[in-house]
Amino acid sequence: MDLRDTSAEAAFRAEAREWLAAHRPDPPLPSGDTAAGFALHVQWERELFDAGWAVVSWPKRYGGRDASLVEWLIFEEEYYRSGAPQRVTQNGIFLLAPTLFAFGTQEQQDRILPRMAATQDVWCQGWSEPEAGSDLASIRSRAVRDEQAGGWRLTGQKTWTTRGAFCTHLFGLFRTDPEAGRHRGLTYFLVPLHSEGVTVRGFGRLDGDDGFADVFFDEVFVPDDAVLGGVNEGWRVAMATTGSERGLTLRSPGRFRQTARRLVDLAASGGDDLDARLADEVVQGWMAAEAYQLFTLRQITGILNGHEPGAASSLNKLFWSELDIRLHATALELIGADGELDGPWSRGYQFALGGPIYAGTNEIQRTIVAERLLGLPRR
Amino acid sequence: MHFALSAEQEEFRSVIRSLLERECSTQVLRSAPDGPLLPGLWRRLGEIGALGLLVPEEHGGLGLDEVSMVAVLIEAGRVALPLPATEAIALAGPLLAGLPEHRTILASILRGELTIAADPATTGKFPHGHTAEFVLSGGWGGAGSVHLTPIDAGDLASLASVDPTRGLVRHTGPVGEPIADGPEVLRGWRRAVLGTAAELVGLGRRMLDMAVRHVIDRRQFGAPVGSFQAVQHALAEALVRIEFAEPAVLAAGYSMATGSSDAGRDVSMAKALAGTAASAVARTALQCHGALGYTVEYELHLFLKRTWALAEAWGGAGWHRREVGRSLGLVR
Ligand SMILES: Cc1cc2nc3c(=O)[nH]c(=O)nc-3n(C[C@H](O)[C@H](O)[C@H](O)COP(=O)(O)OP(=O)(O)OC[C@H]3O[C@@H](n4cnc5c(N)ncnc54)[C@H](O)[C@@H]3O)c2cc1C
Repeated sequence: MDLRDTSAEAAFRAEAREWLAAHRPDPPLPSGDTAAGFALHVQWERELFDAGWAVVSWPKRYGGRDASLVEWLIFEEEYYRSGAPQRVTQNGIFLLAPTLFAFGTQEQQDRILPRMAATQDVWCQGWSEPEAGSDLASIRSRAVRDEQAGGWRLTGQKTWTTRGAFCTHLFGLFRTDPEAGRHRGLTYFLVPLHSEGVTVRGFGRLDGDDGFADVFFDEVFVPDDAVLGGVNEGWRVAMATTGSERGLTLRSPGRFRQTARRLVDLAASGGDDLDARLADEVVQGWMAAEAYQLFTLRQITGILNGHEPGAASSLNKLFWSELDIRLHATALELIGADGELDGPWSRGYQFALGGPIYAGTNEIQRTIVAERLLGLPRR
Repeated sequence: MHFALSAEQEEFRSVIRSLLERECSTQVLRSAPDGPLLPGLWRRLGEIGALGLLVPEEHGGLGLDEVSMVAVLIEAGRVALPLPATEAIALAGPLLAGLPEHRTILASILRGELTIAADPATTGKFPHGHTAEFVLSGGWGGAGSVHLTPIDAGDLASLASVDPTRGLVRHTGPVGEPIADGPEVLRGWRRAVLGTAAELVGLGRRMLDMAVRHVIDRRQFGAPVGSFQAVQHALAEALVRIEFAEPAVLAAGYSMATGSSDAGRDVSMAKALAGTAASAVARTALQCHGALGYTVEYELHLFLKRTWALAEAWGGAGWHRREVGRSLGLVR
């Protein structure tokens, strides 16, 4: 057991810390869930890319640094510690990219990844539909073969699409074989949103920003090379990387540790008046953030020893989503009546409340934990 | 960064585990505190070196560190070992090592011929009092000095405890000679807190295993009760509790082993997380067993009651969270 940085890791940490301290946006950027804010975030993402920090774990040829998993974790930690903003590119670099690395053709990887890294393209996730939420396999949007044109025609509606109104591309599941079983007839498509027949309507999330979108497809043509991982293979392809979304890549411990540090500072700034119960709440939140870090370090060691976390990523998801709410709720209690004012804690709280809903609701995760980790029988 | 037991630590852990599974059945547990097989089990633990795990080799121990201690005591917790293993491994061994006048006591402990109890708060109330020959008293919170008192120098009375397997006593009489003060006491306190946290992790794992097995076997409404979502989700939450407490306990062992300046904070965090996790799992396990868990004729209650006792021993979760709060500058 050795929880310290190696000398190479320490050097990597120092380099990241120094660069971030000098470059992170100050004052902080506005929300990336409005058109104007999004544009500023894109600039920041390009600055990250130019300095080689956009996608540290990717191969150099796609704009990364070939960083190890541990170095990636260190970067995340330093990133959030510096106060840098949430990443509007996350759905591309953390959700689509792992799928591309696993299932994409060489041509797809070469075409898509460098533009994603450089924030020339920004990707959104088109899974949910009005009738397909937790029951994702009930997707109705369909793709019909257009033999003559050498591709597919997409029709239907996606919804709750995060930043769909600002993104340039969407990855999504569409039904290609209506006769096959629910999970069998789905295909994973990569769709430019400027294609003819696409209509996007942004709408407000809980905080009022246009962070959600409905995306409508009306006979939208995509060529054959828009299929990722094989026709009718979409379910398998999508599920192979859900671990990234629930687990450590989308929500690494660094951001929660930073929130916990801010919470401790907030509590300490009140001086001697700190209520004992609230002090205890702060301590519990801080400990939970540390516990998430330690759980993750152990999980990463497991991954490096060849144990893929698989369903265990549902444990991560349950833990970080509840943790995030707890940290913010405690902060709002400390702030008191001014907590209703628009500010980082009230915004953060509203954001955190989505955690138990997206990436598979926590009810669904508990069922996965029960069935796959504890071995309880299915209904 | 590498967060896992070494191959040797894993090996040692599995030796301990199979020994305890073989020799500490729930029948043996029920026979505590003075069951006929317990002295033999204690000797076996001595023979494989477990009791002197932290004692330097030149004093007859294995010279291992607190990470190994955590690994071993998780296994002790898993069987609710009704013997003062944490007292011997975490406290007595390291404190007595290097005291030439107590060489024979140490040697007897390491061989598993003698047990020693602990009374950190010096209240005169402590477990394992009937079988132990000595009690180490004092050192609460790592302050003051620790005294070595022969138990037969005073009077002993049994106390009725919810956990009868630990043999709780009230001891009155003169306090013996001081054997440690200063940093040794602080280290001893932290080790004992950490050892108790490790036992709680093991207890939590065991109760969860029992509940899972039960809900798979037990059928109602024509189906295993473990197929009902309310039951599934409660057990999933229980797993989350344990999975996120255990790394903190291991990491606190690492902090102690490396002499980290955060060791006190880390140990307190470990105890607070392990205690609340095990207590929460205990409730869930009881609920999932239905009335079967509510009877002393079934085994679950033995583990519940040990959990209640250990969650409060060596400082409860609230006490340790205040320690963490102090280290964060939130509590004076
Ligand atoms: C902030 C945010 C961002 C999002 N971003 C995206 C995105 O970018 N792309 C995208 O595709 N989707 C996105 N989503 C949608 C998200 O994936 C869905 O909300 C989620 O899958 C749940 O579906 P639903 O909202 O239809 O809820 P429903 O499935 O209708 O669930 C309603 C309630 O019923 C419970 N429930 C449902 N089924 C079961 C069951 N079998 N057992 C027990 N309880 C059950 C749920 O847990 C929930 O509490 C986002 C959602 C949020 C909140």
